[in-house]
Amino acid sequence: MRYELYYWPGIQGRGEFVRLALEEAVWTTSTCAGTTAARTQ
Amino acid sequence: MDYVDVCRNHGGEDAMMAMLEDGRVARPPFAPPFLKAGRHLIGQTANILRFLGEHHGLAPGDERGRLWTQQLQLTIADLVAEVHDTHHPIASSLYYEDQKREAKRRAADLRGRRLPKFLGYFERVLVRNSRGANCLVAGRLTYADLSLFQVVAGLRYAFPNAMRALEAQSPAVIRLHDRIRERPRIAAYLGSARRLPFNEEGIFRHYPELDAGR
Repeated sequence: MRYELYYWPGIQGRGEFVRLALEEAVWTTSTCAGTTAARTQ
Repeated sequence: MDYVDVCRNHGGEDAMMAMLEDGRVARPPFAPPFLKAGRHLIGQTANILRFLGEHHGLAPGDERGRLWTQQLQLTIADLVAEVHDTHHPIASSLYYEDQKREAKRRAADLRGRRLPKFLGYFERVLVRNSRGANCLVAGRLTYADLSLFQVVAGLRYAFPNAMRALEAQSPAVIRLHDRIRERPRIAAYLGSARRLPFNEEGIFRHYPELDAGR
C-alpha cells in the first residue's frame, strides 16, 4: 500500500512531524539504541 | 510500503483542496496535514502519528505505553501551537506585520517562561525514564522522540540566541535530538531534497526581533 500525505507545499509546518515518522518507520522497524532491525513488509 | 508527499507533485495542492472541499467525505479532516491510508482518511498530526506508530513499530504494544506516548505528543502539539502564536499572537488571519508589537511581547514570554517550562518537562521525563534517558518512552524509539527532535531543530532555527542559553539546562533533550539526527534513515532524509529548509512561512520562523539578544 502507498500512503498519501497531504500538506501545504513549501513548508515543514505540522506536516514535518508526520514526514519524520514516515521516513523512519514506513520502511523499517526500529529500536531506540540501535539502527535498523527489519523491514516491515 | 511507501508514501507520497502529494503536494510536492504537480497538481497536488489542487488535489488536496478538492479533498478538503469534497462534500461526499463523511468524516472530513479540518485542515492539513491529513493522511490517506487505504480506506482511512486521518487528520490531526498527533492522530496520524498514533496510527503510524501503532502500525509501524513507533509506539509501545501496551495500552499504558501507548497512552503515555500520545500524552507526550499532545504536549508537543501544545508547545508547537505556542511557538506559532509568537508570530501570530492576535490572529492567524492577520499578517505578522500587523501584529509585530504583540508578537514581541508574546515571544519574550515564550523564551523566558514557556520554553524553560516545556523543555524542563521533557528533560525530567527523560531523566526519570527507568529504562534510561535514551528515549522518552521505555527503551524504544517512538514517534514522540522524532517529534521532540523536530521541536529542538525548529527552536534552534527560530530562536538561536535563546536556545544557546536554554540548551545547557536540558542536556538529555539535546542528546536525544543529536541521536535522532544521526539515525540512518533520518540522516538520509535530512540530507535529501525531500527535507524542506525552515523558512518564514512555517511554524518555526526566524525573526531576529523575536529572539533574545546575543
